[in-house]
Amino acid sequence: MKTMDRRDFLKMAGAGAAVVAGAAMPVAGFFAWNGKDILRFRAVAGMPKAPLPTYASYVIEGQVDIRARTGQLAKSLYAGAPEAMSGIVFPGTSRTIRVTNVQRTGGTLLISGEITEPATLLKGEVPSFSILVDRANGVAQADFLGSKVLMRLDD
Amino acid sequence: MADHLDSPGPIAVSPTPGVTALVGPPLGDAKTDITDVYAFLKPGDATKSILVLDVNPLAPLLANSFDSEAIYEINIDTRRHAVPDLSFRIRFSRVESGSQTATVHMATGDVVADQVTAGEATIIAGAPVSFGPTPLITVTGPYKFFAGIRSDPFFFDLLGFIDGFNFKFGDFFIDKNVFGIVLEVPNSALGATPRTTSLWGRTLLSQNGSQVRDDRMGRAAINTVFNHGPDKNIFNSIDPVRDLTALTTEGITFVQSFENTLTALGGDPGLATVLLPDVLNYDFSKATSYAELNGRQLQDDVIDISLSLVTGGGLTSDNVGPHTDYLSDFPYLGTPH
Repeated sequence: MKTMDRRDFLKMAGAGAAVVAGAAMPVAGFFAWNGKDILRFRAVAGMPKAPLPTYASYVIEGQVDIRARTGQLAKSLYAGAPEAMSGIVFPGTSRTIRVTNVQRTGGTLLISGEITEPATLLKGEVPSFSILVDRANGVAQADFLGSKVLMRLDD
Repeated sequence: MADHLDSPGPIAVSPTPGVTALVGPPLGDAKTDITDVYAFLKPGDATKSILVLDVNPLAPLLANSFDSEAIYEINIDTRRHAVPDLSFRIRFSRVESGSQTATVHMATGDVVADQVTAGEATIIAGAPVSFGPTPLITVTGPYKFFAGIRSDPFFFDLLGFIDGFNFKFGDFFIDKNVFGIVLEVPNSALGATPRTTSLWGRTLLSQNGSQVRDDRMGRAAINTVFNHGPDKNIFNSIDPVRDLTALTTEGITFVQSFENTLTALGGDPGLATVLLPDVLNYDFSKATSYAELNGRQLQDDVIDISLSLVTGGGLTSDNVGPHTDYLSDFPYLGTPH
């Protein structure tokens, strides 16, 4: 997947301003720092996009060790819009990701990894993975089966 | 999806505070989540019709029986006024020792939406539900009935829809099952005015001693493609006769909302009053064809037809076609996977 330029990312996210490094982080919930270098997060996007009604929720969640550049993430497609998300994962859409690298640039993290079950890949889905996490603006960007998707970071 | 896993199907696990009642529970139940409605002339005998009401997407993953507290309805309007004059109402027993039975009632005359026991005659009683690959068929007089797990006849690149009409993933439903209700009826039972006949499916759930509306469906994918958020449940809770006048949460009519979506997708906003009321027109004096807005066969490519309509021809196909496991005889739905 082509890595997105940070300026483009912020423009797409509607942030408009530079990311403030070292912004205060919540200590509980989906987004949290556990210790100095461990980040836990959950990013969610409603799918498909307008003008179609949201029908499903794309979720990427997990934990990374920024210093060790390791961790494990999971991505899944759930039935229901984010505000009415079900516990039902669409069969064949759940993936486990082994984190292989973490790059910190100001207030953003670029997390790279590999899907651990490449045999399950769908058409257009690649085994490599990356997600750009902008914790100050509460957004992230990742790939959904070949298309870039802007996601919301849950608190 | 025609209406698979759409509201009120999903069981919300983390609903937004304050809107719980609008998004899923307590009405979310896969057993009564309508996936598709079909109506077509019986192959080889145009004096009879096959009516199909499919529920329970991804069966048996989410549920493995019919709801004994629910009523499953196939409503028939013979006068094109979006009010039922006739209703086939199917009720199920509790599952006992792995068995469940169905009773089919036919309500005629002044079939008022909430008078669910008025004017009913029993046409099928004690019909066994099929939980295995062999369909258990019950025949009583001119009626033939099946209920149970079958291969889902619907075909669609669901992931392509979720990816914003990027159709490249293939048929999501090729290996999925549903719980099907199939009824063969003589056309004479559907009234004497085929040109003005239409139908739709509806499910009702028992709550606090009364029946509440759960899901309803006429044509394919109407609620899924046009209604946003809580509007899905509002749409499910009203009768088709109100489709033209009822308001969405934004304070506009469903017709206006459909017009807005059609315009945004490149389609003709005038189609809104063709798609609403959401009923399946069914002139049983003519050949069945979804493309002609007349009934729906299992193999009708409702997605291709709908895509072309709602996008003004901008998109014409999701690149998947009918399944190959449909049966040539009753109950027509293929053997479950």
